[in-house]
Amino acid sequence: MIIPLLKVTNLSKSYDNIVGCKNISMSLYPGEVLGIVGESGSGKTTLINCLSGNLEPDRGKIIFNINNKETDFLNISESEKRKFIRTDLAFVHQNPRDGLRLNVSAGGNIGEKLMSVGYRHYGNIRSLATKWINKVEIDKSRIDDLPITFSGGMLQRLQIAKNLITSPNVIFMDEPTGGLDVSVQARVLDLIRSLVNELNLTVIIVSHDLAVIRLLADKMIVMKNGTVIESGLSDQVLEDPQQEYTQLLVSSVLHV
Amino acid sequence: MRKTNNVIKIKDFKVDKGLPFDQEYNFAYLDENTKKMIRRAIIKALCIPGYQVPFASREMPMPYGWGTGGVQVTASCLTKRDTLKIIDQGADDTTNAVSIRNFFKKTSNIKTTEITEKATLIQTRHRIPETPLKKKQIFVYQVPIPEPLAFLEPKVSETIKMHSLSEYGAMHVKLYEDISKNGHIETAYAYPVKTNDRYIMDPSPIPKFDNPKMNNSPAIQLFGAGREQRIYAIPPYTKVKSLDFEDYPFDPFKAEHACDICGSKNTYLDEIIVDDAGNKSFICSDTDFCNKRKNK
Amino acid sequence: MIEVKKVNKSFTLFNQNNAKITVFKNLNFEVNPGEIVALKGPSGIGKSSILKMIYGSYIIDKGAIIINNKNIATLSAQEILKLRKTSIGYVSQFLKVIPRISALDVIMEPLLNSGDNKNNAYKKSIKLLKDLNIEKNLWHLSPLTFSGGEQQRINIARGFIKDLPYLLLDEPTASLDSRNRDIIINLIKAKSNRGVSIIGIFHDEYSRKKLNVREIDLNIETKH
Ligand SMILES: Nc1ncnc2c1ncn2[C@@H]1O[C@H](COP(=O)(O)OP(=O)(O)OP(=O)(O)O)[C@@H](O)[C@H]1O
Ligand SMILES: [Mg+2]
Ligand SMILES: [Zn+2]
Repeated sequence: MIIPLLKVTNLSKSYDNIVGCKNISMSLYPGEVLGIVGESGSGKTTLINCLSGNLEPDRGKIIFNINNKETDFLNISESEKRKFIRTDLAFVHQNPRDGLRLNVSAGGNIGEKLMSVGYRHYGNIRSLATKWINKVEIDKSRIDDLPITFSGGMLQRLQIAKNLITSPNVIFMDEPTGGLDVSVQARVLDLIRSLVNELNLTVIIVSHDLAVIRLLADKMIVMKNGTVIESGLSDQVLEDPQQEYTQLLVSSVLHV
Repeated sequence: MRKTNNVIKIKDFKVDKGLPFDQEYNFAYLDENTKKMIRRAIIKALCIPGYQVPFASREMPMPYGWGTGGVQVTASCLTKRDTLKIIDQGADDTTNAVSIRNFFKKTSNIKTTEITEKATLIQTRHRIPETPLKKKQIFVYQVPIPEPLAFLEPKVSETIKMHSLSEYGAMHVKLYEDISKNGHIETAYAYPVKTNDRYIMDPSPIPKFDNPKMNNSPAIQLFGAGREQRIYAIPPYTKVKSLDFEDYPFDPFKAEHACDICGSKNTYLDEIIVDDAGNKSFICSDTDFCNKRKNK
Repeated sequence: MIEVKKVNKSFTLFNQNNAKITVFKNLNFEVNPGEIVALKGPSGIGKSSILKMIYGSYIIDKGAIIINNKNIATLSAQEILKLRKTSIGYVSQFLKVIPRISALDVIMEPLLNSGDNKNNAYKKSIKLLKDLNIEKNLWHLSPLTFSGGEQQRINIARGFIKDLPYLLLDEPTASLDSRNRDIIINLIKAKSNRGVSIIGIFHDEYSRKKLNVREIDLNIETKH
């Protein structure tokens, strides 16, 4: 039997009186892509912020199991947690400006992730950064340019490179194509899709765009008012939804 | 960044005698309780090399930026038997150095000197003397920005966390940027170091040429930042390593010149424009060292 | 073999006054290795729904569908994902085209996803494209602009590229001319000869005859 890479049990987080997310349980297996959908305010971002260590949940359990090593995410020391986040997790923000240093060159941005896990050889950092710039379809002549000279789509691809360069075990993406023009979205989605396939990434992706989920996710959960109201294989949830809300969500969206 | 306004009046080497001792002040200006508090911070700083200890910085009768942090540390370490030397960018006779020296003469009546070997306590801005520091000397740096991570992370709560968890990877980003832009590490001043294999520390804006002098020094090195209210320290014989890359090792660069006054080839030089035609001259920034060499 | 046992399926349309559509009650049949079963019945009777239940895309309300000794009705999402990867090929009625992904990549993907090396996947895919009579100049283009018949053949190639013991085919020969239809029929036969259990929906008598199928008439099976 395979052990889930991530197992979440009864996770809850509220902000004062407002429910962020409530009693969330789920598991994620290596190489799976999990989509989280739901209307705005349904708790998607709260949930992935809890899972990625950006937020401290009120209750519940988050267990990562990476290379047969179990990490009780909510019960380890701050330093162990930050180290774990640094080496095993990655977070792609909706706004690439939140995940990049705008006053540091493209290469420096990508390289920082390597340096943060201990790389101290300039030549190696440089060549890995070059390789990844290429991989995300940015011309390698742009490696020393500042991100402010990049388009929105390029910035997002740069952020993706920065996050993937250290081969993290779980990648969180919060609306990775949300802030982009429709024409640019498709290209970024393509890139994510091909990287997911090529590198067999394990991903949790938040999107309110069902087309994104259909394209990328193996499994999905539907959130409403902070709780998971439906979950399963993404084709099953999209094609044979069992909940009234999900049916509404699916039918109100133009099909791809 | 090289300062050329620092034209040193070499002929006029004698400094003025300063104001007479004023009995109205407590010894070295600060009251004994304040000194005790600062000493406690200093002792803590010595116990955790490179770690920035917060302290309650006092108003001093000089503006911030004039070394109020260094002055408070000096005041707290000073005893009646001390011989004090004050330098500013290597020189004993610039306004800043003179006024701080006068301040201590007026408030403590201690001996002062310009000769590095004779001093028991040296306060400095932007330089470490060429004459090696010795056992039992205390060397006090004036520090404007104590936090080496500040340029990366504006939130103090976050930099504190980064230090406590040794999350220093991002420090190399600046060096990376230097190399990718210039082919070498351009940072010439305030070049960050790792102290005792643990804390990353800002050595204050000394030239990187001086960085190796901090390593394994027999003297006690204390750093005071008045406005930022931080004290940190390097105890004697402590490893101080300048950050670098394996393939771009640290290089304490200096200009390819000899001193035009004393002929020294291995001292840090100031570049001075000597006439209206823009002709340049290179002379030791450490005036005491240069004079001794010249007079030999 | 595939066993469909006492399966019920209905849809509740919450947004249409909770209308309940019962598709079938107590459906039973099985498919043996090497056998080709054709689902028969008028439009809307539930032919595609059966394939989707077997594939895990539709919930099974009641009963069991057993494949490899596993009951699809009770498997977890990741167990179904694994079963799909290792055992079940599915050719949907229409190709889901992803913009900018070339025909060749679409076909190679299932192989690469199960860890086959690129070179191997490439060779196999090229061979299949040739067998399926897809012109060389189309291989590196996205099927987005292909004709219905071309898209259908890419879809089939994607479903056939791996050697899997179960195949679900939703109208694989629709929208094909007779020559290409014969090519597909031969490919299906070849799979069958290798012992693959196949369930298909074939709109034409010709294909059913050529494939020597066992017919399951849903009009009779689902009389309730
Ligand atoms: N996702 C769904 N949600 C609601 N009802 C559905 C869904 N899928 C199918 N149905 C209904 O179930 C019944 C069976 O549909 P299905 O698509 O299985 O028929 P079919 O036999 O394949 O038809 P065709 O020959 O036209 O392809 C129909 O009444 C259809 O409207
Ligand atoms: Mg159908
Ligand atoms: Zn000289």
